[in-house]
Amino acid sequence: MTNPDLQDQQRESWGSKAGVILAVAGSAVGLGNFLRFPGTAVNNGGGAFMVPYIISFLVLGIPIVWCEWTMGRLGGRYGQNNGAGILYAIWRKAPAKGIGALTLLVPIVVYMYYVLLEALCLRYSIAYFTGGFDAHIGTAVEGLTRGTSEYNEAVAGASVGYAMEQFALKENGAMYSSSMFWYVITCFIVNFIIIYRGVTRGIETFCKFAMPLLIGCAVIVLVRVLTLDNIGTGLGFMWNPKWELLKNPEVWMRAAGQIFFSLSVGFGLILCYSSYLKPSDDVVLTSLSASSANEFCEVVLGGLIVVPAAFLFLGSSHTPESTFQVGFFTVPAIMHLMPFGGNFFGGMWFGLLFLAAVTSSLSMLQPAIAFLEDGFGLRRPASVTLLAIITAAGASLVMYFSINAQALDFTDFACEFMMIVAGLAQVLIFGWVIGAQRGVAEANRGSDFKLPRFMPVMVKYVTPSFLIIVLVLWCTYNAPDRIRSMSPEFKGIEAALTMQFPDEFDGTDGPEKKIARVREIKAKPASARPEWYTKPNEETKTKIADARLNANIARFSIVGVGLLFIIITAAIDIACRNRIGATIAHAEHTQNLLEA
Amino acid sequence: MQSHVAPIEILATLMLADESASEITGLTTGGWAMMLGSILLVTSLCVFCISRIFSESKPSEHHHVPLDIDTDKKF
Repeated sequence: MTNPDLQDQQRESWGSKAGVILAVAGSAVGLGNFLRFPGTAVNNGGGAFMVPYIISFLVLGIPIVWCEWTMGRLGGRYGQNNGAGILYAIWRKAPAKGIGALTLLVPIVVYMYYVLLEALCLRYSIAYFTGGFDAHIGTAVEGLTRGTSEYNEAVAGASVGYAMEQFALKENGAMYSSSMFWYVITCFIVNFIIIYRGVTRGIETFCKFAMPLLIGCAVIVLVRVLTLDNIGTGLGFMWNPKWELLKNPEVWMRAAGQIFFSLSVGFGLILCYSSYLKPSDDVVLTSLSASSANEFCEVVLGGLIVVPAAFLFLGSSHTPESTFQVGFFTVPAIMHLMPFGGNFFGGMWFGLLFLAAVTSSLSMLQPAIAFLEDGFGLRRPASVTLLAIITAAGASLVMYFSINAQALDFTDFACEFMMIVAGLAQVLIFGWVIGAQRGVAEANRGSDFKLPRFMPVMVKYVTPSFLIIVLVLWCTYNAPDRIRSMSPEFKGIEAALTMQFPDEFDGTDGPEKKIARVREIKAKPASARPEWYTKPNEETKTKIADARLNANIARFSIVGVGLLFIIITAAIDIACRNRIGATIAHAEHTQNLLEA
Repeated sequence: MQSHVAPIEILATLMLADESASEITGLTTGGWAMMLGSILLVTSLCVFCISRIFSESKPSEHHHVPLDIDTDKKF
């Protein structure tokens, strides 16, 4: 029998405090900070958005981060570095295996599409530095004068076209025959080489170099943006508060969602990374530092670059909420339009996004690697190879079903839901299974400063209640549209209706009117349906077929994620009955002996 | 995270200008307050954390609770 603390010394652990902070900050800082935050903020109240955002950070973000770090370090003492093993060590009940499955499933599934975005960032960075993007835009702006609105609009249009071509948004399977395929392969190789090297030599070493470089690049781009003529109008568009929007619950839900996804809570990443801490390492200050670094990147760097520059060059219509649209439709255009060194700053911008994506990707792979090693005793080459095969299979499907990025969009939707559920479950385990008082005492062990006295009440009642409200609002606002999108019949009728009456559903109440009309047609028996749907012309027939295919891809994506959840849960069950269970029992036995 | 890619029709909507936004000429007082307040808050938190980490004082793991020595003295 060995002391679990001695076991810790034999296991991998972080080399330094700065290393773990940069690694965790690197996992949290990703495309969402630089692209999703500004789009969400400007579309949900501008400066006023910061009120629910900061409240969410204090009530939701920080307490969950502290809970996850504490549970992760605790799990590490039981020889567990994966979310499933950590949660099972804390709560020896069947639901812990299901929640643990979410902490493994979400990172794996997110990685399957995130690696494509990572590859796209690399593609754009190289295209800027080598002039490839300029060459593409050049043909679209022939004969137009630089600085005119026609020129800017032509650049914006060409930028959208370029993104569609790169990401094969118009045709399934087209990405396999484009250069993007090789960029994806390159990103896969880079990620797996780093992850193969382990926590200290791989992840920590890379993040120690990548994070300062990333922030440095972002500061250079920020300085360039803030020195643009009339940048005040862009800043005004981003930051002038629209207080009236605070009455809308959706704005509060978006703010809470942004905090949740930005800090990477509920993922299982923090559980995994913090389990590599030593039992007496600080978690309170370390986690707060990683979170504050993430917030700095998001609010200061993300909030001052993209939207102000986009408004300045392209007007307000080019700041959609979607990460993909902001990042790959709007930003490439504004980098091209930026006077003096647009290509250099564009290359640097996408280079920093690439680094941010790599650091995030690493954190998505590590929990599964840790599970394969902790749960089945695999050695590093075997665990890395197995995970590479699994993620490559998933990513190849997401790559193939690239039309409208439907597969990516729906797996993302499923992951968001699972993240909120997993986050809620983890806070409940901390507050009610470990016990809020005991949990806070555990967090304070070895901490640089103590948690506030109100923290037990916060993690037991306030944060879970807030999360339940977020979950209900999230389902209310997002789920109905997604469920409709998975019905081939609904989408088919909708496509035919749009073709038949292109102008009828304009205006703010257009979508509701369209949904009501589709439902009305759908309720009729086949013989009573309008002829333009039952006997469509060729063009309408194609649109209906495309819409049905999209709905089927959406269904397939959700079913695929569900199947993967079942497989992972079964694997966790086997591991918990065998190796994980034995390791935990061994650690407990040793601890009891020591106490005796 | 979250990439919600809209259909190809996004091209058309992207080209539509929002009239109300054209009235923006710069930061209002509220805009300045929210921007600087947010930046200040986040930066202060960051600086606080970095200063604590790199401060020379050792973490409390080395500052054990004072020994509770019973000297048998009655006050």
